Amino acid sequence: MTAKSQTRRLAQGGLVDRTRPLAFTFNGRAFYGCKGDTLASALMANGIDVVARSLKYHRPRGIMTDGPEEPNAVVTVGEGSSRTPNLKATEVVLHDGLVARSQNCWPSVNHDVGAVAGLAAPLLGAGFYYKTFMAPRGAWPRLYERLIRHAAGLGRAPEGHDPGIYEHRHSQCDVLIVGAGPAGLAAARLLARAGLRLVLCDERSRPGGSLTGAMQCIDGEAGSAWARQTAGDIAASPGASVLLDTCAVWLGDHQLVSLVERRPGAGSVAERLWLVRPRQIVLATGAIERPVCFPGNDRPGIMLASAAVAYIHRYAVAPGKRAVIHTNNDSGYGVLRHLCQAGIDVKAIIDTRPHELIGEAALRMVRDVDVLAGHRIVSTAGRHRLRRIDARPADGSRRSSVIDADLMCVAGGWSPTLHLLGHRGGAMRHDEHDAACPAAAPGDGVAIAGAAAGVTGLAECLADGARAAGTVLQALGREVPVLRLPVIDAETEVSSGNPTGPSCRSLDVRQQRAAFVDLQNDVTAQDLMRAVDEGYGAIEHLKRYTTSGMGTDQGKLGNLMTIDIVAEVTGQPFEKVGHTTFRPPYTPVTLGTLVGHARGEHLFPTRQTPFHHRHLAEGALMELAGSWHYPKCYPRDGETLDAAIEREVRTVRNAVGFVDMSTLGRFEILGPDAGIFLERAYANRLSTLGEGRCRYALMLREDGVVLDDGTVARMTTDCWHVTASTAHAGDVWRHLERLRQVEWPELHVRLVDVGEQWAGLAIAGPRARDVLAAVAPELDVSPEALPFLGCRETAFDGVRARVFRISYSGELGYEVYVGARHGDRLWDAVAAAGTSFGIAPYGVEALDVMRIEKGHCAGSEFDGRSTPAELGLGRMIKRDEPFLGRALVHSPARQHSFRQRLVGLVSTDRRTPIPRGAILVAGTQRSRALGHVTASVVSPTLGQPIALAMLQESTSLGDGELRAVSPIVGLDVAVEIASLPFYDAEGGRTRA
Amino acid sequence: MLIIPCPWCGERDESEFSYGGPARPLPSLDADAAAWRRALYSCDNPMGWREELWFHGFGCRQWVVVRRHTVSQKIVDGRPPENPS
Repeated sequence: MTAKSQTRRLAQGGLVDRTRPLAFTFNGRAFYGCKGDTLASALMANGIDVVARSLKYHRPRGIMTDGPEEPNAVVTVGEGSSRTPNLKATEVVLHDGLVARSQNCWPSVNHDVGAVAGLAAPLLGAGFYYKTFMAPRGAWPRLYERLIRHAAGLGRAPEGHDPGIYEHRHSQCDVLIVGAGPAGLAAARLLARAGLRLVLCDERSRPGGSLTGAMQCIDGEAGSAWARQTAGDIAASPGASVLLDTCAVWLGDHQLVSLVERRPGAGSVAERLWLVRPRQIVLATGAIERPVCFPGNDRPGIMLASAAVAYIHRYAVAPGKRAVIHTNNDSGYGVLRHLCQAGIDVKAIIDTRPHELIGEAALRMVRDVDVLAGHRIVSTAGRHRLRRIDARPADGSRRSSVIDADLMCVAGGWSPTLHLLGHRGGAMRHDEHDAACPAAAPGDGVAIAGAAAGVTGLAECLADGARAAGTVLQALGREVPVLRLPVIDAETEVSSGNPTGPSCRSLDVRQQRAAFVDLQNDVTAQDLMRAVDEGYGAIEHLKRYTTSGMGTDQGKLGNLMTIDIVAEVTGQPFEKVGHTTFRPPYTPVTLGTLVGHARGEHLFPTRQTPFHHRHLAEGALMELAGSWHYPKCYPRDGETLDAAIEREVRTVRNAVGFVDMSTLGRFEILGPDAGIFLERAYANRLSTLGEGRCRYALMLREDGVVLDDGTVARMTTDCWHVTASTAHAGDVWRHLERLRQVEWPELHVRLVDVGEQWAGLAIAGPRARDVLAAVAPELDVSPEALPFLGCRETAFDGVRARVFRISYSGELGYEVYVGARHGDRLWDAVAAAGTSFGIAPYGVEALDVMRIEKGHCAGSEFDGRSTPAELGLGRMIKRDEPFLGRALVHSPARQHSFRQRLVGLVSTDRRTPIPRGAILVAGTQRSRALGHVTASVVSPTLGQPIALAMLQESTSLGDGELRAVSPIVGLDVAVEIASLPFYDAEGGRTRA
Repeated sequence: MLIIPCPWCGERDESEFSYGGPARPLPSLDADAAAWRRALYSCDNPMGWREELWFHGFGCRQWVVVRRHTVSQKIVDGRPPENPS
């Protein structure tokens, strides 16, 4: 039954395992293929002609190639959350239970409503969207965007969580050989013999490259068997690994090569990204056959000649019954024998060259087949598959040859696959045979071998691989081992000599529609002509205007035809036209592969404070603040988030609370010049700071913009304890180290990052002093002994502790630091000491509410644009002493009135919350923003919404006109400016 | 991804470093705004070799100076910043 359904499967030959049938479905219908099939070969074996619909005109499309260059057969594989769209059927390895669907068609691929677009094809040419959807402007969001979005795009992205496992692996080796074809294998066996650590990768499931799709014999065995044996020998060498189903997608700087290993249906890992850093690279990436541009060159049944041969020999599938070979060089004639072997009736060879240019060896291979020399194809016919071909002599005579055929093998010559080299920015040129080759030597560490280097012929490719291996060994300073070259038993191929030139010159493309250049994006020769006429002759402009080469195949087939047509139309040589930029990846890579394990909680490394387990025990609602796990608030039973935050704020304002301060950056600045160093690094005066005192301090960038704020405390003469905000801790450290190491290396100063050494709690509230007294009994906590902005070193439960009288909340407050491993004991001591006052821990939300009530700046105000004057901190800046940023902080541009200033806002009705991030406008003048809301809360202390905002000083702003508008949440709130701080303006509570 | 020669740790991956811009002497802290503006905003952007600063934050935490070719991306001569070449 399984064999019966595969009507096009040949009885003999091929590398598929007929005893291992694999069930799969395509568009809901059940089929069988064989182990060793790709989805494309299995579909072809089952007689499926139409696999997809084209992007623009919804023309029926079949399978054209046998590799990553496939423009047509783009499908969706898998279901639900593991669905992957836009895969090339030629790259999908068949496995049991595979589910595939066509894209871009409705209701089915054979009966597609969208095909009416084909009738409108004359209107849908190059630049259609640019020209059509211009005016009226108002129609854009409502009508045009919807229309375009509906029609645009290929497959649909999967929804939900992808269950597949993706992983990344790193590898360092002596040599990476890309491509396990004849040249790659020849190079790798020599390099393995020399004992190098090597990686050999190939995008296909089998080693051998072109050997697996042909009938050549090497050293007395079939080419495919030789390849398998050789690859096995290489894999068995110490330090060598062979990666199949692994495509090199990116050649980056400093020899970093990314490989994507696709492992469908093979174990737990779906795809693997290899980051290989070889010392030397051998590119044995082969060549891609070129198509030919003629009217109707996109019908199912028209395929590359090399692909037709590969389907016969690799997959044992007959790609058709009655064939025509269309060629412009001798290599097309070699196809004849393979088609005959598969029982395909070859009707004719249509050669664009006149008879006298056809090679004699090629003609000798022709028996019982008409050769129509000097002919062009003027049209093809057939609705869902090629049925008839109309060829006429190129001399313009009207004598027409109409041939019935369901298969056309197109042989337009070969283009070396040099995309990886292009990722380095190297340009390509075209040699005398119009084959692409590197414009300059590939550069250090890269050798090109085989067909990728423009070498033709199997024996020549094997020899060239060995030569490339020699180059590599020489570069690495190793001996070249003696190894006999494999012997080709019967050289039966015909080289692609004597081409007449590039493929599409066989036709006056100007007159023709449906002569496709880019089959995936439905770009025709006529589109290119039109674009050139409209002034888009530069190749990079032309690409974007026509979308030629912008599909998922990245123009692997079409780009050369595009260049050729532009060259012909503009009368320029190939070199002048140039080529578009080759960009990684070589083939599309799934997002899952790029992401690897870095998703969910593994997105980036996260950090926990020394109090982490205490937070959890207290029932904290944790969130990620930057890389820190930090409590948002500590909701009690049945308490809402807002209620918890409000309770925590009230606890601090009325009694006492405590909060984890361990995320702050903390640095010790040590040495005799520490004072000078800090004086230069900070914008306010610090040299007058005595021992046992601390001060709020502001740090500027070189350009006068605020970098960060923090406190600077002088513990002893030469030991300073400096804090930086959580968000900027890393930046500040890097900045300070740069000043020390690079700018002022003459200063005797050392910096120590002690952030991880100290666990810190802030105790805040009217009863904070009582709590501290109980926690640190050796410390005199009286206001006289420890005044506001005082700091002391003391003992806590037998260990060293630092106490700073600093307040962020606006209440009487202390920060207490002990060694990180004593954090739990400090927490427990503080909680026990405060029990009688109703002490409670508070989280980042309550912290934020209280700092807004006090008008303190934080991350949303220090946004990398604001100056001290804008933030109301201008008076802190010292005038006399030099410091970093001084020259520019006083410059006119930093002082100008168009700059903003920090203001407090309240909503006019005292009830409506002010949306965060809202834009401030005057009345109904929506087009001009006067500023934005940086922070906003409903203050439990004041019982009304308050906000901080950056507002431009404006004379045009009338009374009662200011509005905070947030189109995102659809809110528009009347606001008034309020003086800062909102709470305890005199600061009496802090200084109590 | 670049390989950066750290004078203390040897050749290390770019992901261990953060970029610090071209290595150039900054004006003195007493210099006027024009001198600072020139130094910060009118830098050379050569097509070729340039000395630049990298911070080996996930390594020795030292600032290092390397010579990088802005076209070929070749990097040579990692050295500590306090030894002007």
